[in-house]
Amino acid sequence: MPARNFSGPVSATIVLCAISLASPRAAEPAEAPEVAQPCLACHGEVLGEGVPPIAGHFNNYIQLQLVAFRSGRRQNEIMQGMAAGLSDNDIRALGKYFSSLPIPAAATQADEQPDLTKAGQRTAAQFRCANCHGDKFLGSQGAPRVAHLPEFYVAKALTDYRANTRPSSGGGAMTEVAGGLSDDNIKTLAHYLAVLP
Amino acid sequence: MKRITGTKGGRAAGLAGVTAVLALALLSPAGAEELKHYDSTGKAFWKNPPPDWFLGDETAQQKGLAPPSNPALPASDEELADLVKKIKLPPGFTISVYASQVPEARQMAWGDNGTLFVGSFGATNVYAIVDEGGKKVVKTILKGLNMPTGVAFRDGALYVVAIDKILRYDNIESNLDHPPEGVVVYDDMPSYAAHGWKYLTFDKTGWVYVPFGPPFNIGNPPSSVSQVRRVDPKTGAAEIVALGVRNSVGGDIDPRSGKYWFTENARDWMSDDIPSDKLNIVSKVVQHYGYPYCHQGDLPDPKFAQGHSCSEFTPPVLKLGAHVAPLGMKFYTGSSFPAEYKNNIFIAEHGSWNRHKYQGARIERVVVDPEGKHPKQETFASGWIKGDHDYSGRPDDVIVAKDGSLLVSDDWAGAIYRIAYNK
Repeated sequence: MPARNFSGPVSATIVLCAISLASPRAAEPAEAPEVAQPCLACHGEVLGEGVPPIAGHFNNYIQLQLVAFRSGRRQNEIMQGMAAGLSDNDIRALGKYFSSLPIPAAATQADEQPDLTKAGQRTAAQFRCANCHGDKFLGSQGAPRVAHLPEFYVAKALTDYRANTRPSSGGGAMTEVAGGLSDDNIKTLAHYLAVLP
Repeated sequence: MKRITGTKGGRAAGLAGVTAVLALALLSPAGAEELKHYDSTGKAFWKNPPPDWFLGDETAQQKGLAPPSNPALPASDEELADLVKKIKLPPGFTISVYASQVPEARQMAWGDNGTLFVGSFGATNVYAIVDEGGKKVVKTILKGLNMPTGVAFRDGALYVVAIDKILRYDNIESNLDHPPEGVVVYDDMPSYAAHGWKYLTFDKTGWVYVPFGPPFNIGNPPSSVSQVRRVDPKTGAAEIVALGVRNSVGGDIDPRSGKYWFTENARDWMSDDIPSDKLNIVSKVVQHYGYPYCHQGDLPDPKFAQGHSCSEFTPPVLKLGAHVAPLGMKFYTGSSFPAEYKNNIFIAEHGSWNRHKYQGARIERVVVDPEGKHPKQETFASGWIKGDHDYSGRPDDVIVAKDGSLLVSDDWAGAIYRIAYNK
């Protein structure tokens, strides 16, 4: 499925979208606005390769990322292109829609690296991650949910914060916390967070 | 008076001068009195100090109190219209929206020709707000700066402070659509962001006051920070004006005396109600204001007093309250407010982030003698707090307009308000 191809034919996007809307859902999400259709090609129920799920993130967190992509403060070739033409109202509509979707299910596979998980738990305690992200890492006003996300993505996010290539809200809080992380810290944290129930 | 070397090679000189080993409170379950040591002699510390300003000193009860994320987008005109209706003011005063769509608006400065320059926080922008046929137009004139919170205007030039650089943009009002490259006039400043967001205040002689916050909540600061400096942007010369200052993001020159006054944010995590934030006056240079040994003039730090008593330090003019976060301040030099407001101080309080019930987020009025005696404080404008733990806006600076009205910048709602008196 050419889910990564944003420049692909519009019809492909619409077909994909129709498929995802046809799927039954537990909760009742808002109807996808027109402006969300291109997003769903990669961030829909079937995720594109290397693409994180955005369903169920906080409204303001989603908006913050889109604003940062739009201004170029957060850099990603595809996302900067996607966000470039968005109006403030588009961004509000996208935040509202994607935050209304249920959060992704926890990983279902058995944890094959329980030692790494334990190490990650210690790292999370050492860096006091739960103070802002909550004991279940489902987030708070100031900090997004970091559970139920793919391991590769959490590692990338932390690496980007550490390199100061991704802006952090809350007075630059994540830039500072990540500044003290070693490669090993990032590896263990990403694994621990990804396998949280 | 202690002199600091000028801009040329200033960073290296500043860092070389720092040999202090930091001591930070070790948060241990038993509340041990031992101090944790950090080594500030290496580059790694200065690039990424430990995130102690918001994390590490909190108690179990305070867990979960985190710096709030500001709204991604500035408030819409409809939201602002609704918001200003809720602002409480003394009788005879009114508030309106001066300009909207000013993301993360911070310090304001007037150009000689009536341009209002506005810094920002994470938005990385500096704005110029101009009047076009009675309509306020917001132009983003600078982008991509590192937390350019402080702006000032002098001799046709805009000055911007962005964490570790003071930049000058000459003849700016004639070049709003094509601003010149910024000229670095001073950069002997650490590059960390924490408490590194700054405020600029020119005095009459053309020197500019700049605060240097410590990169943490509480600790023995390296000798080059926790101070206010006065910088001559023409030569890059600098001198220390005040020591023992925690996080100051506001100040003004008293029109009555020429003295510098400044606001100061006190340490966190002691409790919801202590210590109090402060209003200070520089009666003479290089006084010590107490940090980290003594807070609010009369409260020794439980760990960092280290044998000092509060009587050794310069007390504040006024205790402003705990976690109210006083930032920008100005003496009222206009003439359209009632006569008793002349030379009063207006302080923009940004409001709490780690207090269980937010307070602040208002404009305070302080009546005080030129010597700092007989201070009286009252709330002038309030109503930006929603419930216990949310904001509709967060005032962070004030400035007096030519017509005597008071402008207020708000980095949460991304707007500038105008408070006027209608006889």
